[in-house]
Amino acid sequence: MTTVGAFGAGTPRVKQDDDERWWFVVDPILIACALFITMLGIVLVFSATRGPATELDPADTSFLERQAFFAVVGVGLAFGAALIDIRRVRRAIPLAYVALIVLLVGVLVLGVDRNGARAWYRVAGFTFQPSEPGKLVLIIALAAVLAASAVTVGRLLVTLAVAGLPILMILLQPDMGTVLVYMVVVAAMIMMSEVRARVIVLLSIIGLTAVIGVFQSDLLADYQQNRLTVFLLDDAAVEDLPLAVRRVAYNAEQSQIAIGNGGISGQGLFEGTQTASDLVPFQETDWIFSVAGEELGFRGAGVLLAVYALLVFRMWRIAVRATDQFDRLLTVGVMAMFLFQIFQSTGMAMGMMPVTGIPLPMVSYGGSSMITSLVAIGLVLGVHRRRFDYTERH
Amino acid sequence: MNGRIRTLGVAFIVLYTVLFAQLNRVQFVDAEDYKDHEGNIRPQLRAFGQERGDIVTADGVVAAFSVPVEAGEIDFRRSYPTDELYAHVVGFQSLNQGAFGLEREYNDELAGSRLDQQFGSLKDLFVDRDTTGTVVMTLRDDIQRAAADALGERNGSVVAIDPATGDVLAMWTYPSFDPNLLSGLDGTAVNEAYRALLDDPDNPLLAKSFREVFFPGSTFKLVTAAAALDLGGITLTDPVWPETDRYEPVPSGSAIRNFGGSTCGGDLLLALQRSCNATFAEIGAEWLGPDAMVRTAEKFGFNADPAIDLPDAAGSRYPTDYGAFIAELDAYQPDGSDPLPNGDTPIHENSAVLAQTAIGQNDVKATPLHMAMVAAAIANDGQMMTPHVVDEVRDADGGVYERVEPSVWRTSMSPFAAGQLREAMVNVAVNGTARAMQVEGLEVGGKTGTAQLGTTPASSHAWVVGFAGRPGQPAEIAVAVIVEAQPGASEQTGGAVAAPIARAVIEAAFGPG
Repeated sequence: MTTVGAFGAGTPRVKQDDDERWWFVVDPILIACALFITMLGIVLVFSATRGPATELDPADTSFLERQAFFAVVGVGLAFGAALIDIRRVRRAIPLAYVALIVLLVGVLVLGVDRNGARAWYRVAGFTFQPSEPGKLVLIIALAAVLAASAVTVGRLLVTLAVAGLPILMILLQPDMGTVLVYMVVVAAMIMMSEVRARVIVLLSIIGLTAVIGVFQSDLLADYQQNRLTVFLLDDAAVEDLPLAVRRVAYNAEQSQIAIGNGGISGQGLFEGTQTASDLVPFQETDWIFSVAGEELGFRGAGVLLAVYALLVFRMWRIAVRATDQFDRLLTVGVMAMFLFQIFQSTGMAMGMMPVTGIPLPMVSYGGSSMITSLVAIGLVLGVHRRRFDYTERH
Repeated sequence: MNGRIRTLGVAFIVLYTVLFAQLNRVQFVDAEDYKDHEGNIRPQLRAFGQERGDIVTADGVVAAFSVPVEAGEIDFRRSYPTDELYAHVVGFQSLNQGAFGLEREYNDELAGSRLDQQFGSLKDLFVDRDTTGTVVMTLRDDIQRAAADALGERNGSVVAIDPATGDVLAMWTYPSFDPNLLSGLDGTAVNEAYRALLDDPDNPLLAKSFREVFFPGSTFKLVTAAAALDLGGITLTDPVWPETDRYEPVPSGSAIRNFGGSTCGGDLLLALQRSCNATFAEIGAEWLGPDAMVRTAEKFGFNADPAIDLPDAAGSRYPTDYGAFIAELDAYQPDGSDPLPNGDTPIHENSAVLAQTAIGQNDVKATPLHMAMVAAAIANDGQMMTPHVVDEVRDADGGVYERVEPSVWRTSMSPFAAGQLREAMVNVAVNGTARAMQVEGLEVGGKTGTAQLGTTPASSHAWVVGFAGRPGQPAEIAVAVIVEAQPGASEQTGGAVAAPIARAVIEAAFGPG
């Protein structure tokens, strides 16, 4: 066992009753960060969807109400997730995994098309995206498979198989953004497991070759490839591309203009021009960072990024201190998911990442993503809470 | 394990450093670039909610005005009572798609935000004076309507100009669009309407009259004729070219044939009347040469930035590269015994291309506006006036704040050549291909054109350009009409399809009687 920091678990010790004090059990900073981001997110979603509010035509609050509802449900479920000991329900993991696969197959048949992908169920006025909670199912499943003192090649193959099946199903939707999140999570978890270094190198080479291979082959339609590379092109080169791709470039351009015009102090909440004029499509979901950048400026967007950084740092800290390999891998998976989604979503809005729709955790509008993100934080808080339990049970 | 998780921490720090660096770049370093970006609509937005002056035609028809609305910070929106009729000239002011046309070009004057407009109001600082400006166009509603009615639902453009002043009297392109769809307060509806217009294959947003170039076809022979009269030692009656059905280029190249395999020739007057390809190809390649042709085309404003007081105008093109000089024309005489009058014409490697450009083919491209300017220059003794759609800006009290004075843009040819060419064009309208634009009681000159697009099935742009005036008086109107992609491709197409539209425009300009 290793140790980092003052509260490290370097000396495994028997849990004392006075360690049950709440500040030992919870991570108040992580919770504060999550709640801050969630509340700011609700405000940004409202700003993005309220429409040109006038005396005759009052602001649209339907998105605000729904997002607040999702947040309340998410916080409640996160509370539950923090309380249960996920290791005690290991037996339920295969069941959850099978349920995920069934849902992912089902969505290809029963799901509704939205923006060219069939990724959503529509139930009773709500849409549900199974690949969102699927991230958590996969993270837990992989943590269970990989939590061994030595990860053999056989175990690694099981890991790849377990991860590959849902990724394949999502590729069929097709939802490239979510596929990328899954792949990053899987890669991070494998690297953090007790797998030999040379296996990681080998896997990296295979993975890289596969990515290049996919780009060289005909697996991706031209428009998909163009979408992924258009952010690298200058304006003149974009002119020659098909209309659908130019629209993608247009989104990215408008988003950057919005953020650039935010400047240092922003245009003020609800005052964003690009936002109010509906110039950035999907601004309440994939492009929500442009609203933050335009209306809150460098100060606001910088604070948002900083709070995200603190949130991810607390997860990293919890991963370092976890005394159990399963818990550690679980935390690493969640951390990788957050880190990549934040980087991709804000990076896309600022024109340095490919245009592929990924929600900004707890900020982008959408119940599946909101609840998944909050429950993920609940799971990590559970890891934090259990970090002294290890010795007790052995 | 510890090492790896530290790597993860380092990766996390690196990624975040990149994110912050990019946030700094977008919001500090490059913020000014984004502010100046053409996709940035903030200047328009600032102007959007304010009251603006009207945009009216020369004969007093209101084409744009501000309607008071009660919508938060927005006090006014723009309304366009003439719907699509002036959309390509007036443009529109949109909350989220920016401003186009005069709404953009005269944004400050309409809003009254120019310093001198504001300055006048300083002395009565406590009176809420109206500083907005009214933009008076040169376009006349009667002529514009006649142009739109005559063209009907055929893709094409009609431009009419006052030759003496450069006043644009009508400028119409079908299809056009309804600017009211784009000036609403509902951003989503506006964006949907805008995207629908963008997706329309006929591109109704594009003012093809001055923002799109076309093959001018035989109407370009007017430029070649001007060069012939001024620089080629050619008159309307001398020399007389033999009747032939083709021109064989020197030094080599495929033959240029007449329309429908017909034979033609004769003097310049007759060649223009019959729009004889073989004759004009020979004039360009063997009587004038590249230098004289390019010089003349450029005196007519080809290869120059377009001159019009509207944004995003397209410039017309005339090819300038005809390869290296080879020899003078005399060198191609079988024995050099019978020197040609034009024997010193320089022959270049691609003189065959010059033969094509001299009849408006190959890579010659012109806007309908520019072809109207060509006709106007001929009507105005060779002086091509700067075209403009705005006559004056008036302040709220009716005083003239700013007036656009006529100015010469190019001296295209000598007054003598212009007179000769007018005579030839009047002949074309009396005896030649442009008879359908003749109006009783007026002196009308014209030239048709048929720019072939393809042969399966045969289709072509039908052109006519011309002018009209009272007998013995200077012409009062010059016209260019293009009807795009008409079936068939004979020299008659321009005369049959486009000339009647030109006649309708001329009749409207001179009114009943």
